[in-house]
Amino acid sequence: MSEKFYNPTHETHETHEPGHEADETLRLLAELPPPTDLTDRVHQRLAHARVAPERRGFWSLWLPAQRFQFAAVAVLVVAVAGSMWSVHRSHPPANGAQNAPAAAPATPGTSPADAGGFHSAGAERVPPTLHPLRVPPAPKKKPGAGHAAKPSPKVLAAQPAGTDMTPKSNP
Amino acid sequence: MEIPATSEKKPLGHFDAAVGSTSEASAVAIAALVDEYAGTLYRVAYSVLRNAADAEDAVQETYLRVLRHRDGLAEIRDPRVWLVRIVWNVVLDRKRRAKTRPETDDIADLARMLPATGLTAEERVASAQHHEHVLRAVSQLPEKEQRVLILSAFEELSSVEIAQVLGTTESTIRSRLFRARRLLSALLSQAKSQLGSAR
Repeated sequence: MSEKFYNPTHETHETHEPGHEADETLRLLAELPPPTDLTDRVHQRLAHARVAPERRGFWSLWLPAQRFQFAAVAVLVVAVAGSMWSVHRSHPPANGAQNAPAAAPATPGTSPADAGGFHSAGAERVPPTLHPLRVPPAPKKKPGAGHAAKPSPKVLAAQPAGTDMTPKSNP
Repeated sequence: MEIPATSEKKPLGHFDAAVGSTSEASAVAIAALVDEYAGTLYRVAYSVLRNAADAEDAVQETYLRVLRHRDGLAEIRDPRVWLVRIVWNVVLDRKRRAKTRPETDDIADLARMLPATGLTAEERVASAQHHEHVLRAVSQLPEKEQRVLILSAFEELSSVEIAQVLGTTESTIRSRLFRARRLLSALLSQAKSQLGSAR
């Protein structure tokens, strides 16, 4: 190391070349001596680092290599992607539903739950045990017959209680 | 910047012939690198980090990186520049992480730490103040110019080697150094005029 140290009281104009005033300071900074036992500590650290991987023991059995971690992450990603795809497949997007024809009413045994998918919250659930009511077709009305078949309330009120128009059968 | 004579380059391949197994050879080679260059690496780290513990950590981290890449040691042509480049990257990483730490107190402490033997007490104070002004001016320089200026203060590094450390060309280093000195001169003259007007 140079034994010349900066003395501001002895400075002259010759030493003040543009930009070179800082050289002395930076040179002194660059020549600061390292700690005496630096190399010993570095050797110790390196020796410790060489031994360290062999001390893992139990943990090396738990996760012997990093590739297992990558494999586990890959399995998780595939599982999540698969489940998302199945949900997407069972529920087509809303935009596609507008153009699609009206969905057929749900019939027992063909609900999404039976297909292994999910229900939407507003879906009407049809229990599979309930058979649909079969309503017989209404009889055809004849013109004019409908009025006679249904007596007016006035006629029923004027009629005495004992006079029954229906023929009674004798026992 | 003075360009020193080309330093003696010791390729690491010569360790293989002396020692039998590859792991032993690399261990011997790394030990030799520690003995030979740990001091240089420490000074490079300290000139940027300005903290003894951080500089030593950076040196240790550098040699740990060397240990991790010990298989390619034989291919290194100039281990000194290679190591300085590694420690430089380590130091910049650390400095980037510790960016929030205030540096004003560090500069004043550092200026007092610089050697000033053979001076009177008054001269020491004046010397420390001058170093402080210079270091503050250097810290105000743009990052690229600042780096070149710091590395140029190391007598063992030529401009070609600084270019290798910083991953650029020698002409770029020279132009950056010229710009850094011009800026530094302006900053220092500005600081002096401010001090004069304050008095």
